[in-house]
Amino acid sequence: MSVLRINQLTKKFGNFIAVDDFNLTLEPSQIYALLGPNGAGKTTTIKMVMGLLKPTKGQIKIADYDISKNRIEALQHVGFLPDEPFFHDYLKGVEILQFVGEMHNVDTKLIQDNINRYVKLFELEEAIEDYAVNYSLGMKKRLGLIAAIMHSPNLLILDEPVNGLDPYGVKILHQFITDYTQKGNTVIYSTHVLSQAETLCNSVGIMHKGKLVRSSSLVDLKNAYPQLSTLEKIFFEMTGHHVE
Amino acid sequence: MSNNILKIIYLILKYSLKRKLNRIGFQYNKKKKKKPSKSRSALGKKGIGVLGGFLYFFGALYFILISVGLIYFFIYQLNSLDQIHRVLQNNKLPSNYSSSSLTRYDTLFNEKFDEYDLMMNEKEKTQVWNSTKEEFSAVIELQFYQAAPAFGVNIDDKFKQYYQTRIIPLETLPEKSMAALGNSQTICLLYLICGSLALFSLFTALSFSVKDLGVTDKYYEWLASNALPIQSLLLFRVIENAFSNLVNWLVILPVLIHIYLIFKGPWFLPIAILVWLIWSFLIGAIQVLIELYFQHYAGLQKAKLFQSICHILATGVMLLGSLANASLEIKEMAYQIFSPYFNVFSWVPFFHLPFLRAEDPFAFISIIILVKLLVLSLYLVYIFSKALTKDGLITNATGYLGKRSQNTSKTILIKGSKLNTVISFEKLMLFRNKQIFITILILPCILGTYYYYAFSFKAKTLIDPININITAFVVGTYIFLFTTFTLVQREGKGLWLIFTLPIDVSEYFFRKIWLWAAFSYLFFVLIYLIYFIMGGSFSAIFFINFFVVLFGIAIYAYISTSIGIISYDPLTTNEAQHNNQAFTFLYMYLCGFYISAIFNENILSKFYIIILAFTIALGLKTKVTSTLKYYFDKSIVSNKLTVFESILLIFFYISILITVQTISFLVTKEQNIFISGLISTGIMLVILFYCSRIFPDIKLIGKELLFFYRQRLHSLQLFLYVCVTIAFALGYLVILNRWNLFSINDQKLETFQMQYVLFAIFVAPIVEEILFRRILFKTLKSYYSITLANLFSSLLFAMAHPPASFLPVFLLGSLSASLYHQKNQIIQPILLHIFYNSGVIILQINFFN
Repeated sequence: MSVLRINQLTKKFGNFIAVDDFNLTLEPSQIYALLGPNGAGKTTTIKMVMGLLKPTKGQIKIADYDISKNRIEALQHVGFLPDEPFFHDYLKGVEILQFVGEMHNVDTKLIQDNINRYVKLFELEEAIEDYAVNYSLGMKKRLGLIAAIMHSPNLLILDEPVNGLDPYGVKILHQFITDYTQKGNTVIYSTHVLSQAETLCNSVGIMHKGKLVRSSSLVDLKNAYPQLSTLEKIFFEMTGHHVE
Repeated sequence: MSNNILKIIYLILKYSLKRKLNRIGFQYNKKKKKKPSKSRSALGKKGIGVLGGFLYFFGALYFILISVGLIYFFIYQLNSLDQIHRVLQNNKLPSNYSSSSLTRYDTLFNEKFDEYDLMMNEKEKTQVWNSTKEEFSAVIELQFYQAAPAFGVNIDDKFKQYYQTRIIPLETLPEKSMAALGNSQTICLLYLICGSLALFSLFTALSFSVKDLGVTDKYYEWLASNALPIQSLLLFRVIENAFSNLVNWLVILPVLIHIYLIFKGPWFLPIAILVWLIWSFLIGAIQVLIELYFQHYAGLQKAKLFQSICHILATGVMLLGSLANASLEIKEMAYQIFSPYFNVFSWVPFFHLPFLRAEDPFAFISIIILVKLLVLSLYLVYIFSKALTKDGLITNATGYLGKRSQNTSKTILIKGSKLNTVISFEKLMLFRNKQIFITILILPCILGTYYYYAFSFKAKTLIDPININITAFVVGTYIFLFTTFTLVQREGKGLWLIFTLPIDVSEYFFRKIWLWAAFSYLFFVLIYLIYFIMGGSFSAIFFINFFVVLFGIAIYAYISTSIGIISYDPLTTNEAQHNNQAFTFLYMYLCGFYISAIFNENILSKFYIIILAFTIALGLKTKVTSTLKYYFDKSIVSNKLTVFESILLIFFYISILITVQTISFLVTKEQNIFISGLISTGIMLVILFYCSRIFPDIKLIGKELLFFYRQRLHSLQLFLYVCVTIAFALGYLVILNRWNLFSINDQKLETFQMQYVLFAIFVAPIVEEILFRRILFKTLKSYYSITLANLFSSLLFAMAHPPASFLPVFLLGSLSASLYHQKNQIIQPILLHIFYNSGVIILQINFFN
């Protein structure tokens, strides 16, 4: 049973093709970095995986549940952090976490344990009792991340997680992802910071103009382009811009 | 330069019109544009000074016009009274009267008088009197009724005595005229109409939208980039607002019609139009002023609070404005025409309840006092709620934007199953959201108070089995307008989170109804408690209507939620998101429809309406599920016609028919069912044509109407039709005759009208078959089984006809549906229906002539 299986995923907005024939299979303990220039279709793909957008063509299966047919079962196995998380106006951070935990049918005691553990881990102790509208972007992202992992999903989908986090946050995030995947879970995230992606992830996918031009493990990718030393250079090569 | 300005004005109006159309649901552009987020504009302080100037100018102009109008009217009234007096004195008008309108009355009076004299018996005299009443304009008649008491004449006296009485000597004319003038219902009404115009403008002025603060659309950027002086920018903004106000003011069209009917003077129309234009500009200027103030001084949070207070104020004011209401004339006409089954206009305050009595000037004064009290109490509410916030009794989260809060309230540990979780969090958000709290507690009280005074002015009481139930229902559904209708809107930016949870999203929203329905039922209990304390009777009528309302509130909770979900656009980034305005009116329309179930005395009709409302709720629920599935995907446009929309189309047709009938009655003073039917069918077909651009299902109707397109109608088939219809009709008449179920009123047999025949044969079959079979039956077929679709569409069809003919109409509907299912051409059921109707009519003529 693969964690995530995407087949021939296509999305058209009128005549504009946002995502073109996207194929991907993720296995447990994979850290997959989805890279691509602005407007390549990363966020659109992620939204389709989460069932927020309807694919024009193709199939998405999370833990072997088709997202369009068995949405509820599929969503039990995935946690999602969007690029700009906003929360309800009149709820405090801790209440949002309780809410999410409750709605995921997590045991009350476990909810409390998770809250205590992750709030401490992500250094949100001061802010957690505050209303979520008052948080800065970084704090919102941390809160969103905790909300995403509240039910300990097999698959974590993070859309530009490091955007907005301070260096401490980035370090904590990376450590967390490493630990999380060692337990057998999978993380797929999109990012623009290629240097960080290089150190953290073990698989890479590069999108360009809606197409997944390259998807393989990092090692394989590096071996395919021995003359290009960094991921950055490989990225430029694959997406067609040559920079001196 | 002037070319430029004209071009700019043209573009503003075009843009404004598009935005207006967009607001009311007409998508001129299929792609949903993402509106850019707001940014603060730089107009600010300077703008307020410039605008103040505009305000003074327009305000002055308006008041001058109104004063001129009032003076003219007084003179006109005095002239008419003078004329009445002369007639009373001399029995004839003096021939040296110069006024042209008087010559007509002169001749008429004399003719009628002669005619009256010639009549021998009472009956014929009454006939002459009645025909005279019809010929004279409403003005004179009204003035006769009003002036007569002042001259000491009992209005029940006969015609001749009026015109021959020399009661008052000439010297006392001025006093008596003034007294008559003071008592004149028309004068009071004029005051009230002006007053309600003023109140209405308050309503439009204060209902500025928070999202207009610093709005930067591409068009504004372009405006600003043209380096225009600040005065021009503001003027353009005012023009834009004025333009949309012009359209908003169509809502007072009934008042204008009323004024026209009473006065019919040549000066009325141009003055009315001018007043309308000037008011729109005035209000446009006020709106821009308010916008600028909030942009520069007070900020978004205060603007939101101000908006909700204004909303409450405006609602209260609008309700009071309707106290200055339609005259007896319009009301009676309306009741005459509107079928008891579909009293769809009952929601509109103008056709509703109170009006002043001519003999009671105190009523007018009490209204003024009431308005003052209301405004004062609302102001007190505002102060009070502000005080509450300061003490921290009700925590205001949005007030804390940018500031850290003190940790005053302890964290709440939520226990229980998912259902309870949803409600617990909703409760939590409710108690923290001060705005909605005020709205749902204060507004229903205002509404209830309004109904109390409204009923007492009409010399009926609130403490009446029907009236109390209406009040309970209206208050309940009004609360829904602010609570369940805006459920999705109040999720705000956290909506995405709900879609990532492993739950059925529509269930999540429907679950919240429990909390909000509780508020409606709370007021429900309060109202009935008042009823009990004030000694209302618990008769059968009361209990029947009580259950109607009980079910109604439950059904409408679902309807309001569903409409709220359907009308919300989650992709817009505006701070204060409006639901699509057209849907608010749709909801109010549907509420009005249900109220007719309470008015209606026929229990079967009540039952029908409950069933229909229930069906609508079900149809809406399925639509919600499909809407919520890919709520955030702007490229998904659902083109499939749903059950809800099919039923809605039927409603539209009936409303159009009633409206056209009303207008034709107003114009020709006669019932013209054939012509109105024809016009309504035409309008309906045009609407269907436009709908077919959205719903491809509807497109093929045209082809289906031409039966030669597919298959020729065999002569055998034709013969079969004729036989079936005759057999059917015969059976129907025999059964009804035998069991004495035949109600003659239903069939209009006494005065057999050609109009009715033409309507029944040429108009009714076409449109009924298209609506019930081609649209409703076919849609139901695609969602449910054929049997269910057949039964249900026939049931609805039978419910739209008089109850006496329920069974045969139901069977006809069922037969038509099966025929349509077999042949797939709409022309076949149409022909069947034509034959059936003809058969019935032929048999009626033969049997009863």
